[in-house]
Amino acid sequence: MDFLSQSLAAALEMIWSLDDEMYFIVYISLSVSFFSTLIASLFGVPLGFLIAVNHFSGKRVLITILNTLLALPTVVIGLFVYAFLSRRGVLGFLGMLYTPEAIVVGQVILILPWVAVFTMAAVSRIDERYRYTALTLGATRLHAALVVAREARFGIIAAIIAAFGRVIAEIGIAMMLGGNIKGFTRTMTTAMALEHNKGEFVLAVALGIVLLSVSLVMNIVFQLIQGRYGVQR
Amino acid sequence: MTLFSLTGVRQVFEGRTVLDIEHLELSAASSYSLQGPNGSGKSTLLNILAFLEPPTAGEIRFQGRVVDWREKTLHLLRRKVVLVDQHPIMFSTTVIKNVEYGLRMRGIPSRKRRAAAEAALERVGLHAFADRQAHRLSGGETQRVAIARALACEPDVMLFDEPTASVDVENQALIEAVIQDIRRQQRVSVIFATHKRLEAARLAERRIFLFAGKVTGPGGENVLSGIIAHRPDRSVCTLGPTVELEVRQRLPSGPVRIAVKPEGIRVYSAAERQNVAFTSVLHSGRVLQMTLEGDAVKLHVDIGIPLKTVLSRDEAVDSGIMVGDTVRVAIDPDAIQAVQG
Repeated sequence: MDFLSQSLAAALEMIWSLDDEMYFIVYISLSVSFFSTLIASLFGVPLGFLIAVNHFSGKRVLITILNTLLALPTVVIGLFVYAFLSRRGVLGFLGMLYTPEAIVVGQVILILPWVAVFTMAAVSRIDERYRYTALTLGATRLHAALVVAREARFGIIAAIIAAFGRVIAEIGIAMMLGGNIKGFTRTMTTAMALEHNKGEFVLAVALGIVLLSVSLVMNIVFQLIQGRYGVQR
Repeated sequence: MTLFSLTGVRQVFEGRTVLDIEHLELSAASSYSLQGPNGSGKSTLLNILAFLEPPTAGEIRFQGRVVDWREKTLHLLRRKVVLVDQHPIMFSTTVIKNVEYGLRMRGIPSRKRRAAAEAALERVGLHAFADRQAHRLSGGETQRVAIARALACEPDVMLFDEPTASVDVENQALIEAVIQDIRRQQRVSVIFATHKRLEAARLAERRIFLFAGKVTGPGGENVLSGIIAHRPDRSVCTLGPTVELEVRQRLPSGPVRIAVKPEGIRVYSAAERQNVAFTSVLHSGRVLQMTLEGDAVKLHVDIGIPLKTVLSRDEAVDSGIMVGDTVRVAIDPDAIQAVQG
């Protein structure tokens, strides 16, 4: 018990003293997660939206594939992308392996299905009459789609936040494609695993606290957005 | 001038024909009611007239031109015709922004938009509600805001799908007054679906009756489910445990839906024996309700199945029939329209 409380106290002190190494790890984690979430959202939100509002043959198959991809293990993605980015891989000439960009590529593959599936679910719940109302009031198809997207905005934001939470907490991709290089690709989760292996718990606990805090802040922000606009509903 | 001209228009959903109109012409600057039972195709027809859903087959002309159902031309047509739904949906923003939406889509500048939206709200008596959240309105207020939202667009045609079906009496009167007001502006054509005969009589210059997707004569009130059976001398439709009605239409045996036109139903007092029309088959029944509707008296009669018929006031007075009386009911087989299902 002493060990835990001592580690916790030292971790809090580390956070309070603005430890350079720790905060750089946090920065790398946030930066990589931000860009992977941004890219996945740019593709995943329109994809989920289009699947939800269109009727086409093969829709069920596509939804089944996306649902299956939700359960894709991070190590499988890591291995798959590694096969492309390693020197012997098709994209080896890009020299991307063990860079933050490589982590972003893997994480985009991880969360794109999440964003698409949860966006699809949010849009599917929106009453068809929103689209018809917009159309009968003279909207073009694009404007009618924007009306639907606006009504589904809380679900879409929730999908993006869930995706961010998924990537910031994942370790397999960051380890396999980033290589846990200090000051370059070391993320919170890879650093925690390393510190645990070394038997050094202070940094690991400090990073754990930051990780939980990030998750808490994200959820508070979401609740505030939902509260602010939700009141207007 | 012809506003809409429909020729051979059919709408099929999942293999079932829900609308089948041989020919229908609607004139500009007129008001029409669409009447008929649930599932008769009223909403489907309104959606087609609003250019929201293309028909499966047939040709529609609007203001003399054949409608091109390609999306890029449709939104220009939709800007001339606005449909107000039975349960209108409000965008999750303020009332005024809802009313401004159609104007924004037409590229109207902000200041002009606001003025037009306020004027439209004024017409439906909800000017004070401009900055309220639209989702917080009551059903009647929502319906009135939806009408203001459509009015603000200044369309050539306004379509209403049962505008007073889900509102209280006060809002019903207000909505009817607004529709009357729109009708008075000769430029705007009004087409509305309704179940209410009185409302149709008050608001529409012309009435269109639909049954099982087809344009029929007046009726559509006595819609019942039964089973057709063929006897050596005639075909009958069995309705409930005790009632059999003769049917002249040739349909295969099996389940059907029938509509009995009210004017094909004659009610006689139990003592009355002379002047029995239509058929020698008289059903015994009881008068449950009598209501005055304009110059006519509407009778609700129970003969084992509920039926509604209409008498002139003179006929009602002469017959001496009162609520609760036992009566004899004759039904003209030609007044029965049956469809499979």
